[in-house]
Amino acid sequence: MGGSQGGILIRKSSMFLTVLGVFLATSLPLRAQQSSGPPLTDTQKDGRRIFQQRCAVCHTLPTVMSKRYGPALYKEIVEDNDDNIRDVIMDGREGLMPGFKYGLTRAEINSIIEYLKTVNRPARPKNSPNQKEGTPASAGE
Amino acid sequence: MGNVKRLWVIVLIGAAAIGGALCAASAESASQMQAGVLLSGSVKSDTGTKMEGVTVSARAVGQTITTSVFTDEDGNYYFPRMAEGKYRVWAQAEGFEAGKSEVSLSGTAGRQDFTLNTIKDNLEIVKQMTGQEYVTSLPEDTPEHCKMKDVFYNTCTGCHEPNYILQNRFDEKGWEAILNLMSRVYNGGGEYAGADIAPFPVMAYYKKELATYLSEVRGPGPSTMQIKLHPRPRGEAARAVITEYSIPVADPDANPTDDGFPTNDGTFWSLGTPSALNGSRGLHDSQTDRNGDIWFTTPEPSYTRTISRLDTKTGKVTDIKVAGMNGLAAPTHGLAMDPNGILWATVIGDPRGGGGNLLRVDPATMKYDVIAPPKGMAGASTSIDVDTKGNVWATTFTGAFRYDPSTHDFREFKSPTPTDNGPGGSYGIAADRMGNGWWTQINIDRVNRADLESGKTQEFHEPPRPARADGAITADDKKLYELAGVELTDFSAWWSEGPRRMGADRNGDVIWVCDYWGGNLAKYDIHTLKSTFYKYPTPESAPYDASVDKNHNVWVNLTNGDSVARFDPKTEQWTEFPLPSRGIDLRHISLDERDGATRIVVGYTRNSKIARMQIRSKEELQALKTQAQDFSARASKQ
Repeated sequence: MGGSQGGILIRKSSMFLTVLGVFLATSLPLRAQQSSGPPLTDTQKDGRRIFQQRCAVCHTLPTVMSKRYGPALYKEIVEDNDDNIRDVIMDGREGLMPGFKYGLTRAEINSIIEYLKTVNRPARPKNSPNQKEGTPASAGE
Repeated sequence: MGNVKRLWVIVLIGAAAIGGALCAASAESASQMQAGVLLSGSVKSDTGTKMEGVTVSARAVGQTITTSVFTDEDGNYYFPRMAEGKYRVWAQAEGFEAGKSEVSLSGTAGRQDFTLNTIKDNLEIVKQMTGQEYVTSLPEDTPEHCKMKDVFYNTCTGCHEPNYILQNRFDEKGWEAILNLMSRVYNGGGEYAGADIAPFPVMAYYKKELATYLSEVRGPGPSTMQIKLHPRPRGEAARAVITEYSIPVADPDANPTDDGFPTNDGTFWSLGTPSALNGSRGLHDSQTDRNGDIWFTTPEPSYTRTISRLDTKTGKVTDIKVAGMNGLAAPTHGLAMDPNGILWATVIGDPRGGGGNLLRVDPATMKYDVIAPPKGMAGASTSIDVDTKGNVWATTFTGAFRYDPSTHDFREFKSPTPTDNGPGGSYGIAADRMGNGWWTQINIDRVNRADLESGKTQEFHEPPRPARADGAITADDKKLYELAGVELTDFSAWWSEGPRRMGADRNGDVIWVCDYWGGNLAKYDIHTLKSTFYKYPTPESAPYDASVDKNHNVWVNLTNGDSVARFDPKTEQWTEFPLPSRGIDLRHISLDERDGATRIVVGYTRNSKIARMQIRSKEELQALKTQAQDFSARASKQ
């Protein structure tokens, strides 16, 4: 720890205001990946709720002015890839994502996957144009 | 004098999902009718025990207004009279599965009894817990556990309700992954800053220890938590009637919603604590106008919503959009009403989008003005209050200002100890009976008072709170905090009291300050300037804001408790009133005393509801009880 750390804290807050200002100056309306298909089944609705409660903070743009931490998830990634997706949800990814196998049942995880099969691919985020869909936005530490 | 721009209202009707509310009488409106159907019943456990203090809620099918009451000492409940129709009714108590039913009300009375099944698995019980219950249940059996409990509470719960975090179970590496992310989230703003930013030093320093602790309490193996549930309400607290209005999210096409509302709005406790993101977090301060409608601010980025009116009879929400930047609505935060019934709000965010201005709204006409402070004066920030003469007090990043609407004069007051920490420069504000303004600096434990006569500001430094981990704090720990600088709004050091928001007694000579981290309600005498601290029985409930009623009682919203509490200064006794939803993240409290009754109004910032609570007298409840008994007697004879 050094004296510069206090400066970092102040800078972080100042940066927030700067980022807020820049974003508000440049942003255009963002519209999320709403499915336009048939009404969701009860399982898919459960999956949507659980996804929003446990996953969306990293895998969606949580506010209209946010960066996304993890990859966007949508039907093209999930379809015919259930087992891989389930494994990642259960075991996580080292340093990046926790495994949910202790806190969610297999049925709950399956409902998330079923919901994701209804999600359209989101528009590329305008505040992170170089971010490739399906890859982490962050390398962690 | 600042610029005054006269603009006209742009009215945007809230999401179509509330349309149905226009055409059907609600439980709330029905409660005000002489006629209506009396719904009552009993609640017992699966062992046959009568259950007191059970939350029983009813919502007309297809409507957005929910009414909740509690069972009495005999396990019976009585709703206010409601309109005929089909209702969903449910009963909830921690440690029990929710009882759910559908009831068709017609005639004069209806009945619905519940038997609640006991939950035997602690892993299921904890899903229902409030943030306070989680924190109280965290182990303090060793100095190391005390220390990590402090680190968790001080580092993570300024922004998050503890139950949002601790509903998860991760192994050590999983909690480390969470801390990797959170160490790069802007304090106060909640935005992920990207991988390139240096991690928040305190979180990085304790990452391994904290991840280990969290994996012990919420990890793969048996938890070391000792579950301590809050007692259910009884007596006066169980006589409360709470009306919850579901508020459609501001931009329903920008986020997945459940017909325009959050996918988990906290109604059913066993679903766990909802996320505040994806549009659920929107509304902030709420205030009742003279017509009985409730207005609320929206500090989150939105395309439609600067300030909004909730019609409390129909549930309809009408938005006013003040143009911000590039199509966004200007965001607002603080909200108060002046003696003439005019509403005043602070506009926040980028100055180019109106941030720093005051918003004046006439509820009768819905016309508004945007009023800017003079150039060179710090703009308005989080909180606002209006004194008894109609002068508007608002916090700024450097202190506070007072605006006189009759002369359009601004007067600036600076905090003696300045801080440069973005949103936390000044936090709460209140104008005392003499017209002097008071404000807090949560991050450095200061309470400030502006003296109108001298033009000077006097500060009070609140004493440090004792740490749970006093014995476990090393010299390195202390050095870390000293070097890192802990003066950030949503982060606490071991010693922080955290004066957050506050309220003035308009009929008395005191102001009341909520010490968020210390769990205290602090009283400041406006003449002697002496302070007195009153500890809340469960300090982890996190008192946030205070509002004083006509009888000098202090009403406080408990952010981690999902509840409000009343402090009686005469007896120095607290009474807690739980609210019917979970994870509601209360950040403001206001009172509606138009007709002599005292109604408490709070906004659920995490899951998009507004609640209004009124306490029935024993006589009122007895009258309903008698009517229900008469109905039962007649029914048994038929």
